[in-house]
Amino acid sequence: MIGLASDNLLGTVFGVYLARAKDEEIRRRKVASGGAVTALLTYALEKGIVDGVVAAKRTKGLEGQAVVAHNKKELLEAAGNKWSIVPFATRMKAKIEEENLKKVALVCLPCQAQFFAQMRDFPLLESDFGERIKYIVSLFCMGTFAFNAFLNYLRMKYNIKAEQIRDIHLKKDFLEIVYNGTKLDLPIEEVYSYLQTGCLVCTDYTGIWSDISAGFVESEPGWTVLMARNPKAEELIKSAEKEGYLELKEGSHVVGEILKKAREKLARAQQNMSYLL
Amino acid sequence: MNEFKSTLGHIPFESVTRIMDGAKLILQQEDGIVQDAFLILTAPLRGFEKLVIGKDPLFTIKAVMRICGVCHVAHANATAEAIESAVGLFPPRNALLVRELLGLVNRIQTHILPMVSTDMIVEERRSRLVSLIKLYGKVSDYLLKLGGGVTHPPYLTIGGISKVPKWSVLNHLKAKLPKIEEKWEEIKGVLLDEDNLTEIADELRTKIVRNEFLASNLFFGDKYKVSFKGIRTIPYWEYREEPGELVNEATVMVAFYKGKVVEVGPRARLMLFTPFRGVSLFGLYTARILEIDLAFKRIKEILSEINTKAPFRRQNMIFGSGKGIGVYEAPRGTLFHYVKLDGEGKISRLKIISPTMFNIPVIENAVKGLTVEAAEVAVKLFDPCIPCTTHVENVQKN
Amino acid sequence: MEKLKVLHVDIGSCEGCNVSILRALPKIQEFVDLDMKYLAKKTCARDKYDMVIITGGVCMNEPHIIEKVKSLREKTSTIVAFGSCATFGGILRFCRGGQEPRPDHRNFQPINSVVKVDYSIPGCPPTPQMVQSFFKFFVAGDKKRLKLFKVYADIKKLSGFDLIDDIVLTGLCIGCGACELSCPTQAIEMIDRRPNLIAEKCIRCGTCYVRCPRASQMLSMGGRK
Ligand SMILES: Cc1cc2nc3c(=O)[nH]c(=O)nc-3n(C[C@H](O)[C@H](O)[C@H](O)COP(=O)(O)OP(=O)(O)OC[C@H]3O[C@@H](n4cnc5c(N)ncnc54)[C@H](O)[C@@H]3O)c2cc1C
Ligand code: SF4
Ligand code: SF4
Ligand code: SF4
Ligand code: SF4
Repeated sequence: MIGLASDNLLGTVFGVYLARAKDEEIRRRKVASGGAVTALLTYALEKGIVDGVVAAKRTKGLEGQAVVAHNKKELLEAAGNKWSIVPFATRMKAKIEEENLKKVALVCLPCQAQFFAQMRDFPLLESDFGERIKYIVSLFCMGTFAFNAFLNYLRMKYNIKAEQIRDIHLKKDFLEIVYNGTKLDLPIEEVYSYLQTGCLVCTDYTGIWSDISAGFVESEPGWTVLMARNPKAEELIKSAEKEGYLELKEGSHVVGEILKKAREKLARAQQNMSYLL
Repeated sequence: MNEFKSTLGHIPFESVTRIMDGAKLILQQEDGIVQDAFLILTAPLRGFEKLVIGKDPLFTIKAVMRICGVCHVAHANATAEAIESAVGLFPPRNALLVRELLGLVNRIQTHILPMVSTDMIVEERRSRLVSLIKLYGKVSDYLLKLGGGVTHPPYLTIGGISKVPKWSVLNHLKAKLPKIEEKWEEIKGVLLDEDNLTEIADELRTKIVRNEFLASNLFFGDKYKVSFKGIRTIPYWEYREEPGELVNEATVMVAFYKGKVVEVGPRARLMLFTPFRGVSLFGLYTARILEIDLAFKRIKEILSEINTKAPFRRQNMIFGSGKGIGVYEAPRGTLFHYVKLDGEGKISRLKIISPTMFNIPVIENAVKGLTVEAAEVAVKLFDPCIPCTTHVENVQKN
Repeated sequence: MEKLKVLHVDIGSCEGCNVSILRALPKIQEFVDLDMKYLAKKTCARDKYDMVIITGGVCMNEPHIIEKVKSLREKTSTIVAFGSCATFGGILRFCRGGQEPRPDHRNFQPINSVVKVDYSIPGCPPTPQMVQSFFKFFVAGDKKRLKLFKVYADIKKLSGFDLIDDIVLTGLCIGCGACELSCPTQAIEMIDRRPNLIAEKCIRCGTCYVRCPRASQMLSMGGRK
């Protein structure tokens, strides 16, 4: 049986900030919260700190595909959330090798952050590319959808067809589905069963293996929470502020809120494990 | 074992060498001169010939690579050829080229390891050999890019190469080659400089050993030049029956070709296919150096012959019953794989004759009459491929 | 700082793992004093070592090898099983004996079947860079990072088959593709966001399992297999 340690739920935290993009253009785009992730990475790209950003771009429907962005324009095209796991691994390797990128930043979910960080720390295979990953940015995560099932549910229950959906936003504790010019608010509870089973036993809310974690809290709408997990990450965030890419405020007061969410996720995982396994 | 007194004194190997656990070199000496030698391999027998029975050809090639983490490509190439000829498959030209190239890169790697073994180089100059480990890393990149891995390269498979190399990757590898060769030229200078060589090297130079040689080709291997039927193998303990306590733990077979002891390996290849005449034991050393030279030249040719637009693997492979032989010139010598497939295309028999099986009697004979120190070095120059011993049991005649 | 005294012992690997360790040498020399039979050392015969690294699996039909492994346990407080053969059995899992001249060599087991292992580093072979990282974290006492390797040390068998059984068939797979990327024999293919195991290509090295974030998260959270 699997027992879970509940200590140190948030991992190593060096600094917590509330951030948003200074650039109006970024904020106007359909960013997920404060657009801080996009702004931060734009900074890293434009200053040559990284030579490519691997992010997820929306393809058909609500799914995403791993793309390499080389500039702000390409980054903007990838802003906003994709609600499924984007199977990065193999495609990313091919991309990095093809373009011979030497220092990439990548945006991913906690589970993926764990994989990439483990690859970086423990290069078991000669074909690994961990040494080329400079920054791992993990989004907070409450789960990804088993997409076919979720869309099918929307169709059956609400008569919303996949091609009508323009966007999905995560708000407080409901999902806002934007379709056909109107909106539908779905309580998270209602859609839980359409999350991937694997997500229901996932214990990591913030991405403890990442360099930087990004998410939001209800009490500070319009802002992105950035958690720096090491000095290298801290420096990137600070200098992005200095160079005018990010608007930054101290964020340690929201840690409690994040921790609460993290506990909820852990509790969910424990509960699910007890009957799934 | 009355006439032997075994003293377990350690004779140090001042070097990086592949001779390690899993074998014993027992030298019987009189006044420091070797009278008789036993090279007894005791590494546990993992039994690859048996573990592939009933399995798919795709598993078989993955498995045989893992016979040896040093010359993995050799086993893969031999088994691929054997299975393909058993079912009448002809891999495309590109595949043959890539296989040959990977084999040569692997040959360079394998030859480098005993070179790092510094017995031949005087102490003061040994530090310069660290660049050999670096060279190992540089050539490894070719295996990684074209074979998918530095060790046990996964793209090597039945029917050809499973991943088509990108044109840009190939170009990049081509462009890098001259630099690597330059490095090698530098190291070669150190390895051959008379002033750097030890007294042992001098002793080996005076020891002429004339053997029968067996080799099938200078580079890849050619099964039509040699006869698999001409090989006979017997357990080591039948080849040398006494002393029982010593030989009975051997885990290896000894091979003879047409009833004779034959030497295989770099020297055999060069003797048979080039004007090279290194008849002394020192010739083992120079042969390896020369083979690295030749490998670089051939790699360059192959890189320009690979055509990324043409296929790398056969399509529509059908496996069924049949038998086939694969012969590949492994770094240490001629390697034979014989396979039989059953009606379902699964392996029903695999027989492997590895180069060291031929070389064991050659090695045991060659070191007679040498000083103990030189004998150890000579054994390492033959580079027996089964993990061998570092400690020499020094057995004196009563 | 005093260098870590480390002994490497091979008990019958294919040497791929040994070459990896050897290749890491220039990078670890600074803080590790390695006794390895490849190297220019007078002896490999200290009474005590800070760490013993073992490559290869144990041939259970050779009592002297079993004895040897047990004697190594006496020599050190930290045993590291290096490579899939030593950790989970790897290709040795397929051995069945019957081959001349020693048909009696039938059964091979990972090191932890014979003695307690402290860290297991799977891979076929693990890279020289892995050797380097491991020593870096070990010397720094980075418990968090070493934890996974500690957890694997108690596991005797791990492979693509277990990944399918434990993660995919239970529905826990999230479709990230890490396993596909990590398999050294290309035995895993993602089909419709779930891995498919090409059974005949799997050599049971366990790399996919330890790289699967779902699996490794559960293991590192204190889960047992
Ligand atoms: C599935 C999912 C669940 C989430 N759950 C929570 C939650 O429970 N609580 C919370 O606080 N935050 C959650 N987030 C994160 C949050 O919605 C925002 O992404 C985060 O606050 C960053 O906002 P931003 O405006 O700075 O991002 P942006 O500037 O819009 O940048 C987001 C970046 O993330 C990339 N991205 C988007 N989706 C994916 C994906 N699926 N895989 C990889 N990269 C992707 C985009 O390409 C873009 O580069 C979740 C995100 C996702 C994708
Ligand atoms: S909940 Fe966990 S497993 Fe699911 S997508 Fe998020 S981080 Fe990955
Ligand atoms: S794990 Fe792989 S490389 Fe290491 S000894 Fe076993 S087969 Fe060889
Ligand atoms: S599927 Fe691949 S990575 Fe997993 S155990 Fe098998 S060979 Fe190893
Ligand atoms: S690594 Fe694990 S979670 Fe990811 S695709 Fe493979 S089995 Fe699924």
